[in-house]
Amino acid sequence: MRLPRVPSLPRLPFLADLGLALGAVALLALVAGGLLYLLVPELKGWSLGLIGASGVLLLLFLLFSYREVAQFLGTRRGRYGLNTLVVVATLGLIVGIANFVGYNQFYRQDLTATGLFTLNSRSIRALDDLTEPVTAFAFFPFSQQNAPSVSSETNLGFYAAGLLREYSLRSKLFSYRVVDPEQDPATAAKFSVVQYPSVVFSSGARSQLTTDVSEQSFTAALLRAVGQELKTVCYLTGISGRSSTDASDPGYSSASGALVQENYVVREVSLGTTDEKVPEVCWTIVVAQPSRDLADSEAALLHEYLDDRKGNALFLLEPETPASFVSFLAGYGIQGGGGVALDAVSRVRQDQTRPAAQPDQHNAQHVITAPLARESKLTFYPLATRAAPMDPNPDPQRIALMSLVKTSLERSWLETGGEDSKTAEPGPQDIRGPISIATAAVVKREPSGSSRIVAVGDSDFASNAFFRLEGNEDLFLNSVNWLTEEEKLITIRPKQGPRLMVPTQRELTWILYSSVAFFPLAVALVGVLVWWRRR
Amino acid sequence: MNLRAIGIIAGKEVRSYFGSPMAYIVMAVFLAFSGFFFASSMSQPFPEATVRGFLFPGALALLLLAPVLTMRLLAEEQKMGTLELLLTAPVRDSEIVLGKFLASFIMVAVTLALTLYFPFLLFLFGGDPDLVPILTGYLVLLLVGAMAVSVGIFGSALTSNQIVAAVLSTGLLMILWLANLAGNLAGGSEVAWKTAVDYLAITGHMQDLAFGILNTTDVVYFLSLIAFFLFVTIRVLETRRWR
Repeated sequence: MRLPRVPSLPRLPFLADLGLALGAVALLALVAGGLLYLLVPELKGWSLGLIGASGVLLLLFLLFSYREVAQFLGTRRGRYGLNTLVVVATLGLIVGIANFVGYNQFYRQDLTATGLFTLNSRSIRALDDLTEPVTAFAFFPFSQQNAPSVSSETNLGFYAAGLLREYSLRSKLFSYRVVDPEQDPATAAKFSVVQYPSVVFSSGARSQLTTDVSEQSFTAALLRAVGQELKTVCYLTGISGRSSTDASDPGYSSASGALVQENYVVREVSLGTTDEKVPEVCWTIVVAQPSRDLADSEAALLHEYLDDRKGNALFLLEPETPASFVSFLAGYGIQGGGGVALDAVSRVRQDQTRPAAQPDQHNAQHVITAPLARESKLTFYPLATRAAPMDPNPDPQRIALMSLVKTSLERSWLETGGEDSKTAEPGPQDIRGPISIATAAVVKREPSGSSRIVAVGDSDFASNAFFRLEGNEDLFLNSVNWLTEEEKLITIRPKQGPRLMVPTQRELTWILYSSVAFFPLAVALVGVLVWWRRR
Repeated sequence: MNLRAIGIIAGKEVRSYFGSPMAYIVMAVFLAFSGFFFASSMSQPFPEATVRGFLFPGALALLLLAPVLTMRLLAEEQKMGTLELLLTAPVRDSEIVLGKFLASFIMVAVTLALTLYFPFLLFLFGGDPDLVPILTGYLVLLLVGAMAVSVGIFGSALTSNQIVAAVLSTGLLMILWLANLAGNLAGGSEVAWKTAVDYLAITGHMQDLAFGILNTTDVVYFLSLIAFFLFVTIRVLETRRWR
């Protein structure tokens, strides 16, 4: 490579040394200016000045040491060295570009069995529906930020940041910052954060703080920060035989907890006592196991809620459902009660009073049960009754009815002789199957709108004893989601089985000594043997 | 590229490793270090059945031990004068580097294989661990180990002094391990470069894989850095011919 010839300065001995010195200073100035520019934005002017000065010094270096530089570049070492520098720099650029592309275009998949880092439908829906930017500020002391370990209690910083990262990957309108309150107290004071860990979701002038590091609380806070209220599901107590807070086997605390996880607000309503009518905030009511007849006043309140205010309702019946409820539901085209649904073919543990609905016994045409059919999920109903569309439909212009779940086609029937009946075959008075044990109704209202009703012929399937088994949880939650017009949340939820251990003290001792001492010592002993043989 | 030549060089180095007590001492130290963190994670109340407790400390240990394993690979050859002999042999510089890299990587892989004792304990004591995070966890350790080895070989190529080689490599690896601290020192994410600096940090690329999330960004990061350091090592070796 021949360099262009330029007039050179008079050859003074000290100029070459001066040029080299200026070159070294230029390099230092460039590095210093660059670091200053990156680390201390407040001194931008100074950093740019240093970078400019380094440019000038570099020019002076070239001017004073041009001959030496040209000489060097003319040598074999100079040429090969420059070539190597260029090749390495090019490769560095290629690596940088590859990583830049890899950072922006990537495939990411949660492969865990429990879907720990897979956002649930509610979170996905909330993020997809964002119309304004939301920023989450996660406040954790530094010691909690970079110490990933096993237990989430001591790893809140990492888990929260990971969860927020999932949110940011889902929506470009969502961003987050992890803030060390000790290093940045101003930001903590701005949001009045005094407890750690805390996460603040901020959108415009609104902000919502949560101290609970979980996806459910994050999504709830996100929804509130964008001004969206959570929907309320109201359990009617007094009428119902089940309580939403009861943690015993017959209770509904699991179902209520699952609703909270789906970002619903759950409250209990007592008609005629603490509540004069069904509160306005109730998107849907739940009557679980009607335990007594409806009083006229209660029936009037329910009609007012369903008919006048286009409310929605989930009725979970039992074979002994009071007659007043049966007639109440008949007014909406649903035939409830009338006996025990028995299934001699599809049942749990040879007990025909516990019909089990196979995947193909779920209505694949209705949004509530389509996922159950599609994902081959089973649901079962310990002691169920009929909940069927009336035939004929009493008001086909106004009411749309659809059966959701039926007993098997082969040998099932509605035993009208009472629950103690142990007959293996249907009698002449019994109603042959398949028997519909869950029905959905849409009732049109004037001038517009509609109310939705789901009736299931069993209330045990959603109790604590059976809620998490098979597809029961999905049926319950999908019904509520449909009733509250949250169809996008209807899905099959992954079963989060426990992946915890309960090692005994002896096992822990073995783990400790074998991991830290025995095993490493055995390997070291092999090394000693190798050394011994080499002597 | 002559794979046979690479295999011969790798085989020679592997025999050298396992014929020396140093390899076993390194493995024992790594096992003890990792075992301590694994046992600590198991001592929590209702511990999670996972090996994540030792992943990050194990990765750090690899970053510290890999320079020790690799420091002599090229530095010793330079000091003993056998490098010139090797460079004049009918093998390419790339085959030399890849052979030595492969040998060190095998050493790292064997060391990690010994830690499979930990997930064995999880299954043994009825933990029902999720297999996928274990697999991805070991994948990330292998990637970290390979990267540490490639940096170690690079350091070894730069000098004939093994200690200097180890220190250079360790320093470089520590910069990558602690890169995100530089962003924290800048005092917030408004500083434009924080994202780029955070990206350089090894820990940032371990998180997803440690939790069972496959992320191609992380795989690209490790593989590109491994390729970069191996390539630069080859170029450094080439300079021997004309320096």
